[in-house]
Amino acid sequence: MSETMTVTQLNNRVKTLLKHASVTNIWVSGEISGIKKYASGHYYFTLKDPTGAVAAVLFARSRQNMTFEPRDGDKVEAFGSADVYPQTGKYQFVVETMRRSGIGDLYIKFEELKSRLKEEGLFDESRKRKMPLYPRRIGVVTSESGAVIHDIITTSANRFPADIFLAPSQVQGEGAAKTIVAGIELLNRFGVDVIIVARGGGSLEDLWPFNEEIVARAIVASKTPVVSAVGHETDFTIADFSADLRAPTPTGAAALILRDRTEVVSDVESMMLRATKTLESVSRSMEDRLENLGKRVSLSTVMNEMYIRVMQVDDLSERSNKAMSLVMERAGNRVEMASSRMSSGRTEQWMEHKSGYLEDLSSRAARALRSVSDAASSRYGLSAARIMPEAIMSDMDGKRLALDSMLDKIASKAADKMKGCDMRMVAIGSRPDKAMEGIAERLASSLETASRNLEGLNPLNVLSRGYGFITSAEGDVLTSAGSMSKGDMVTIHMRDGSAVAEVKEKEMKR
Amino acid sequence: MNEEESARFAEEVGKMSFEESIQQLESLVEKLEAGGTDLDQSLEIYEKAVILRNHCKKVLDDGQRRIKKILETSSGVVETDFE
Repeated sequence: MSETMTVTQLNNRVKTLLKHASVTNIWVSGEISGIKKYASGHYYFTLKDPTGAVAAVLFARSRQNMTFEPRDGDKVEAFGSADVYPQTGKYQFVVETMRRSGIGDLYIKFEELKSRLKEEGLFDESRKRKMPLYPRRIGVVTSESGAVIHDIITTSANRFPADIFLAPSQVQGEGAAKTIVAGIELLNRFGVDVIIVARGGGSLEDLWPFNEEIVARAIVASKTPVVSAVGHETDFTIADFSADLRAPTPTGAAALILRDRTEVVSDVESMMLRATKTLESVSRSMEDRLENLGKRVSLSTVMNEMYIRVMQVDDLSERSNKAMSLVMERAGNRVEMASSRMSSGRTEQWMEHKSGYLEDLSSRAARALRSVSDAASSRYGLSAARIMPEAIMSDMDGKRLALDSMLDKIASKAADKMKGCDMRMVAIGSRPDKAMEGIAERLASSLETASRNLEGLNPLNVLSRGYGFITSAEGDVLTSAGSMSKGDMVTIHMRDGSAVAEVKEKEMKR
Repeated sequence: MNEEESARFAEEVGKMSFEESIQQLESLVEKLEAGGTDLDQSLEIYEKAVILRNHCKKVLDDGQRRIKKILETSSGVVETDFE
């Protein structure tokens, strides 16, 4: 015979039954719908799947166990127990906590893919490409509507100048991974120096496309180095492990691959400074070597010595001229005296021979002078070209010409004087003797010596630039104000002449 | 270097990437610093360094960077201004 009971008894018995059945402390997955939150803090909603539904309640104290606010449409896994509400006899699922469904699966998938690709060697450091130091073209794979691309553009503005090419892609949701792969491939075909694959922060599901295998493989297959910049600094994705470089954030990516512009400028300038300093020290040591060779290339030394030599040449020709005239006069007298004792034919013949010899001497002297001056000018042309900066080098030809003409003048002056001696001798019709020959020879050789001395000088046409030098009344070159006194008469030698001056005032440098 | 040589070198440098030119600049400076070059060679190295430096400066001073969006279309890759 069947048992008879009240409704309340039935409900209580079912409630007890459920406690002992396998419907307590279980995970139920479904989608939330019709959720209502009451002032008490309790939530009432329906959990459903495609073929069924169950009423559910989440009490305020249980809400504290959860990390997210439940909303309609959320796919969740709810932990709790089935229970009966005795007042209505309806059964409901009492939720103690909930998590978004699929998350656990995603973590498992993430770890599985990570270890598989790692095993395969996709993350090996040895496989990673080097970042270009100075990329001129940067490719970016990201959403064209997000903040990320603008952050990258802004951050790179003051850095090493590079063009930015955006290959727009989806960065979340179904199909996003494929558009990321397409972007990487497109930029490889298009030609850039480095590719940034970027996305802003988000949940694990939001970032999921960057955890997909096809993205990892596209990054590895890329010929162009790839930088990943996905999510926040604490988020790691498979793309991060596959990329050649991981940037903590999209903004960080631009800063990582582009050096600060002013830093690069100062690098270049400091290298140039090093070059300049080295060059200066090379040219200094070259000057030292020249000095060691006894060839001081200082302006005043060159000038003084040159003018002294020129004067010596002048003086020498003057003196030899006088000496020769004297000798020739004496010789002439002797010839006259002797001529009576000699046949005129023989005298003439002898004369001709001797004057020919003198002519030969004088032209030898002129030739020697000429070749010495050529050697000097070409040697100085060369060394000056080495020491002088480029600007002055172009000026050198003019100076060399001026030098040539100066040396020409000296040579022709000397030759003239020699000739004059010849002429006089011939005119006198005297008989040259051994002494005269000796003097002529000495003259020629002093000319040679004097001009050889010119070789040691840098004959830049310094005087024409407005320099002069000063000699004392005794003819000594003055190099210091200390050797002058008030009232002294001095001679100022310029390019084209000289002037006598009186020292009016004198002041010494401290 | 005479004018022709330095023009030829400048042309060569014009084709270099920034990285290449800064590397060459660096190695020239190191060669110069290492010593063993006479004044002629030193001058030539220095002239080359100046040309390389000017090339680098030109790149660095160029404020005109391009920001483009690229899309694959049936008629190839199309560039459009971005922003």
